[in-house]
Amino acid sequence: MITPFAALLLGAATAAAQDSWVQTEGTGCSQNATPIAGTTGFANARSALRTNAQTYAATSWAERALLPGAAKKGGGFAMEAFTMLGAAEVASVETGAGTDENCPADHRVAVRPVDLQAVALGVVGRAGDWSFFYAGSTAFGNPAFPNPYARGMLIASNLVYGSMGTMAAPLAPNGFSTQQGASAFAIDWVAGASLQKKAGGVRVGYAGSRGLYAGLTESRLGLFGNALLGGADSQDALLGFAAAGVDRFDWSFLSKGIGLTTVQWRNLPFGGVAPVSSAEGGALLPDRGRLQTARVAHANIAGHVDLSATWATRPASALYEASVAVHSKGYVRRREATAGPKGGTGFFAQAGIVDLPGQAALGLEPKRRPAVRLEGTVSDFAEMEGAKVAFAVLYNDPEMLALYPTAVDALALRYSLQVQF
Amino acid sequence: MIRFVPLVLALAACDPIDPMPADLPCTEARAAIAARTLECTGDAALSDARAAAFDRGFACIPWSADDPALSDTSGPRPEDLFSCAFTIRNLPCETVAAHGDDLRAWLSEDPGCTWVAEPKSGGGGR
Repeated sequence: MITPFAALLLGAATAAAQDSWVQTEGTGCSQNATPIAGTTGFANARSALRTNAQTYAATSWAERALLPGAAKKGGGFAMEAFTMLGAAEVASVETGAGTDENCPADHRVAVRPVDLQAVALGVVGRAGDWSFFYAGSTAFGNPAFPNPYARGMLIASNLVYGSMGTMAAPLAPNGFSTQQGASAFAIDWVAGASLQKKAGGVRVGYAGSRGLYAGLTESRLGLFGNALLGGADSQDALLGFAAAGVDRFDWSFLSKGIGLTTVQWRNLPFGGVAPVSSAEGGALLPDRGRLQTARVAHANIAGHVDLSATWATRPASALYEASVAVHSKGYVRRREATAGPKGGTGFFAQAGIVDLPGQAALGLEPKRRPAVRLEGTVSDFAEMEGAKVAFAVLYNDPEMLALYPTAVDALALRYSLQVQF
Repeated sequence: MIRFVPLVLALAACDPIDPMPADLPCTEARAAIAARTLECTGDAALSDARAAAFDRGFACIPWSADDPALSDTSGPRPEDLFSCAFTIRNLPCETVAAHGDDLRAWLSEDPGCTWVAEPKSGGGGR
């Protein structure tokens, strides 16, 4: 078994081995290269940084990951860590090129990947039909270290520091706290109350990135709708989303094995491509656009198969996704249950294709790429009923590419933990 | 810490940075025209059409570290080749409207554009 310590030793050894299969050309270049303003990579990186912050805005995350499965008992805790390797690529100037064996002169201008990360934490306490919740999130990104080992260690340490920032989110300035070149840091929180009745629920709260937040759910059909009500025009407001549809409508009243149907319309803030005059000056963040998707999915056919198709209607209308997935019995979430199987382990494996439209303004050519999504869960471990750990690997995942159109062939990793008490 | 094992292994297989592709300053100029068109007009089809017109009318001048013109200390450094894209990305919308489909006019906005693209024979660019 590979232990973390052994993996780190392996990394350290390979990092020290010049011209090895790990220490290739370019790994000797420094971290402090200067992104070139005016390039598509620079604009795309800044858009990806904003999108990451919006996706992991506390409201978005709480609605997606904390509230649906939490507080079945007296309360619950949830956390999620997200890493995307290579969300965009930025042409950058390395003035020290030519002075190191592994940083030759032709690397003076090199194309560098930008890595994104996010950490979110939340707690829910329940008293009768009422629940009270808090969620905090930290989202950040930066050009990757050229050295793979240093890159991995930076990512690992960022997750630790991100967790610390998330816990203290109400004490920190919210929105984009810093922004320099192709790097960014954003922090957000939301606190509120939820009233859940048999027929449905209502949620109200306040988001630190300026906004009253409200949500409605309907239990029988799975109708839902939610939105962040304030701060829409603020440059540093980390908007969540607006969504409506039918969530996992259960056909079992007709016959078992038909499955669950989801029809979802969603409108999200979407990082734009507006230029900035330089890395240091001018408008700090690109203007927002809107991403609008329509998704139809049918899950849990015969208990093991899911089908899904998604169309994006804005900003480009051509994004199309079709996929099929197989999973362990009981993996698919029902509205009245927490995700994953009750006890033991579960898996979900999805494969499909994505048709990506050419977008000249983003420097993207039309592509058809394979898409893979792998998930695994372990539930009720260590004699803790209601505890669940989940891990996901996403490669050209359609939902991910809809949010990060330049993240073609990027690898995303997501780790989450839920505990009920 | 166990969750970082796949991350470390994935990174070990990555090639973190690549030298600038030879035609990158040129393709950036093309993308800048498309981006500025989209931003000023909101017309994604027009944006893509102007990028296609660029491909038909202009040829990219590949950059090379061995190019004598670039090794001359009085010549441009590789990062200077991006001045064309930078200038185009910061053109006011009034200028974008005035230049319209005249890509030669777009590329005349920055002297550095002559380093990265040239009209194809037959007088392309419009």
